[in-house]
Amino acid sequence: MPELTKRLTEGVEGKWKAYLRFFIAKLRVFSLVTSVAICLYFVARVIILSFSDYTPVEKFFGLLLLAGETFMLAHALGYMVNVFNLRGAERAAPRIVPEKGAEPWVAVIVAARHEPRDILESTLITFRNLNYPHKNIYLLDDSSDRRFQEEADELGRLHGVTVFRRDARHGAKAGIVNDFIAGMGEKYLAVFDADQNPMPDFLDEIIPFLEGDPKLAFVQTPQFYSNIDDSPVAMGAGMQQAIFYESICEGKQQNDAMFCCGTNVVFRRPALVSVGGFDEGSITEDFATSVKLHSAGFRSLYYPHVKVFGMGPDTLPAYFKQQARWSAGTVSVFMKVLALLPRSPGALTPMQWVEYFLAGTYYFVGWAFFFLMISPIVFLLFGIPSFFLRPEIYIATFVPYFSLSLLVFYATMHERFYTVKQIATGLILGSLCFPVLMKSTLLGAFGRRMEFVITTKGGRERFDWKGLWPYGVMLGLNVAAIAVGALRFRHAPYPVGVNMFWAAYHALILSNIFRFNNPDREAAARG
Amino acid sequence: MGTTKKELLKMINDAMLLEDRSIQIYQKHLSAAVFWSGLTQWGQEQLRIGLNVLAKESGRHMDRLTALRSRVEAGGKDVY
Repeated sequence: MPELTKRLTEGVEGKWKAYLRFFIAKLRVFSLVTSVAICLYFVARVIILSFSDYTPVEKFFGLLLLAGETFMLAHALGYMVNVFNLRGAERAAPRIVPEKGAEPWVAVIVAARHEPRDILESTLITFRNLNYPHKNIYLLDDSSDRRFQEEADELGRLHGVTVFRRDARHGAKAGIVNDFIAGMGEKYLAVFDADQNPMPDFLDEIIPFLEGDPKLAFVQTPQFYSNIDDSPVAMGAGMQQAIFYESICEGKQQNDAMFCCGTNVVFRRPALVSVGGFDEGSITEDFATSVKLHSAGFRSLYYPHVKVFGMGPDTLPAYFKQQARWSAGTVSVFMKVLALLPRSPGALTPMQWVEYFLAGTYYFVGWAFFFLMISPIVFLLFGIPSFFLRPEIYIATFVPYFSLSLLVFYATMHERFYTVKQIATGLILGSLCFPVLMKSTLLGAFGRRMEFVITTKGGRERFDWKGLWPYGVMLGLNVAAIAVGALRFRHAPYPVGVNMFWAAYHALILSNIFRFNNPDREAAARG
Repeated sequence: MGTTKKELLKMINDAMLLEDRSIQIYQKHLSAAVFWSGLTQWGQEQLRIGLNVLAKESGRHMDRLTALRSRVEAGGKDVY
């Protein structure tokens, strides 16, 4: 390895770093060992819960805890499978670079409704800067406010961009894109959100994949945020995107199960048309349309290189709104996917079913976190046990699963030189979303959306403290549980000690809500 | 077939607007790209130095375009 490359890619030397490097080098083996540890722990938990002699109330809380743990274990197992696959032999996707002057035409579109002019103009400028010669740029203006319509027309004139409008509103973004597709003459469709800026070589890199495989319906590229320094929320949201796009999506690609994420994606028009266009019945039309395309026999590709940068949510309300929308939409599509399984089990491959199951259930993590959180509370405050493992079995099964899972996850993040603080920021922000996800997944299952009450301070959105009552209640319960545990500790050190540890861990996570809800940009950044 | 002075000035102004805004947009994104690069602190610092040099070079582009616009405005030719 050349000296410069070595310096660029190696961290500071140290004994523990050497161990970590060994761990990373053997990650495929360790992901397999961790998968076995996950299965062993699950089997131990199910057997003990099934045969233990406890009261119905205790068994009820035992089942809640097991449900939460089962969710975590299933998704941890999915992560391990992804890590295992990623360390295997790479499959090169076929590419055909079009001849100069004979490049197929691409419609580059941004759908906008009441978007700030500056943000929209930046996106249009980056469209103009795309090197690809055969492109037509369209602004799909769905604004109903006259002022925004005039701004869109002005931007169109200034940048030589065609403004497209529709007569009758239906199906939000999916609706206007479908109306546009009906009349478009280009072979491919590049879709971007209003705040996503492609780099100049975006289409040069992507089109050859679509030209090389006629069954390839779309190529999805990652979505990375540029405003990570704006606030801890922006950093946390950015880290979550990194975890998703750098580890999870690459694993999905190995199973031909990458779904569309709504932006930074290029579609083959005939493929979209053949499945009836974007699914207008879902607020996550991207996810729903992917299911339709995969079940129609089309393939998808994840191109794991950052070719587009954008802006992520930088306040807690913005982040919660984004998560609520994604979770409600994903759950509603998941219900349809579940209904599809018994009707046409052959519509997707077994691994595609698994991947869609994991993606479709992901947002139930809010419920899982809640179940895990109430277990130590009911034990310490009311003496109701829900975790029925004896200490020696706990140490033999839980400790290997938990420590190995953490190590594999940390190793995959460390490979990209993310710090523990950055990773923790992403994980804590995700955990704090639990009340939002609990409500939005429930509403999503019934096809409804969540509303938020938001105030602003210094021009930035924040939640009123009263609006954060779920955190106050859970924080108070955890603190009370720790206090009661301290009084009971000498009577039963092992169970009380373990539950006090988890209550303290949950209290620590919950206390971060105050830091994330701070609208003062400078104070937030320092925090 | 030539280009009129008015058309040429419009093209230069358009190029200047595009250049000016593009530098701001990409500079913001590229500083984030350094963070997401997967490089060590040392590597990130080297990249930042390189990017600053490029940003200054882009400024020279603007200077050239400004000089060209002045020359066209002051020139007596109407068709180029």
